[in-house]
Amino acid sequence: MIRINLDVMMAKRKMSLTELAEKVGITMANLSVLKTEKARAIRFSTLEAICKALDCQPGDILEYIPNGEK
Amino acid sequence: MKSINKRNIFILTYSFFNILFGIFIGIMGLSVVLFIYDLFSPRHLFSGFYSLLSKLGISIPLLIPSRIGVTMFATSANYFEIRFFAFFYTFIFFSAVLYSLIKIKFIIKSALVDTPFRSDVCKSVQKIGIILVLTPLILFLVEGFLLFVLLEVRIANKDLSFFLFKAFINWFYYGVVGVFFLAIGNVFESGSQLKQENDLTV
Repeated sequence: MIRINLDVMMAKRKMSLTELAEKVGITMANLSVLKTEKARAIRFSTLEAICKALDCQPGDILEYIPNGEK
Repeated sequence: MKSINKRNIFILTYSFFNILFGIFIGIMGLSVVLFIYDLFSPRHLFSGFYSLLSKLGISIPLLIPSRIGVTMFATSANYFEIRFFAFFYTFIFFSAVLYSLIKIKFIIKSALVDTPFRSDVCKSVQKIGIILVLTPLILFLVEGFLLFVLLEVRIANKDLSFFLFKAFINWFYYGVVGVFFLAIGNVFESGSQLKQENDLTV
């Protein structure tokens, strides 16, 4: 499975969900879907905007966990 | 502007459908009352909805040829059995129509308020299709039992092969519409899956 470490990066950058949503340009609801790992897919444009806002790499946000371990 | 017009059309359709729904419920209620009334005052051979038609002066044998057999034997000792099966037959038919109408109402309302591409709407469309395919078969069994087992109908142009042919034609008409509804249900299901996929893409 793919784990989303958005909350870890947000905590490192001391950024709130509202602030990140404003910077990325997506709704709070959509960002919440991504953060709670309910999203089925992510657009490259969204990933790029998140990386830009959090000043990080895609690998810092997305992490591959083998065999679906939680 | 476009969305307002679309909404207005939906509201108009929904209102029109509600009027039709009300008329249907009215006819159904009146038929049930007439059924009960006719059961205790056997003045004529028809009951329920057919009684209503006969009161309006509509020729029933012309409308429903299969009733001719029932009419001819209705004076026999099986009077209450005939009434019971006629009631059963009409009850199944009305239930199927009522269920379909309730589901159609739900589909129109869903399209009006939210979107028709939802899993419950898809299931409703598919259920209408199943009802349309199955109801004529159940009615065929009930009518077959009434005519050939209970009444032992054996008259000219009213034999088993004629009955089976008529039943098949009836089933074919409803079956085609039912299969169409099932196909539409599958289209809606695919649409619903695509919408869900799109909603969960950030």
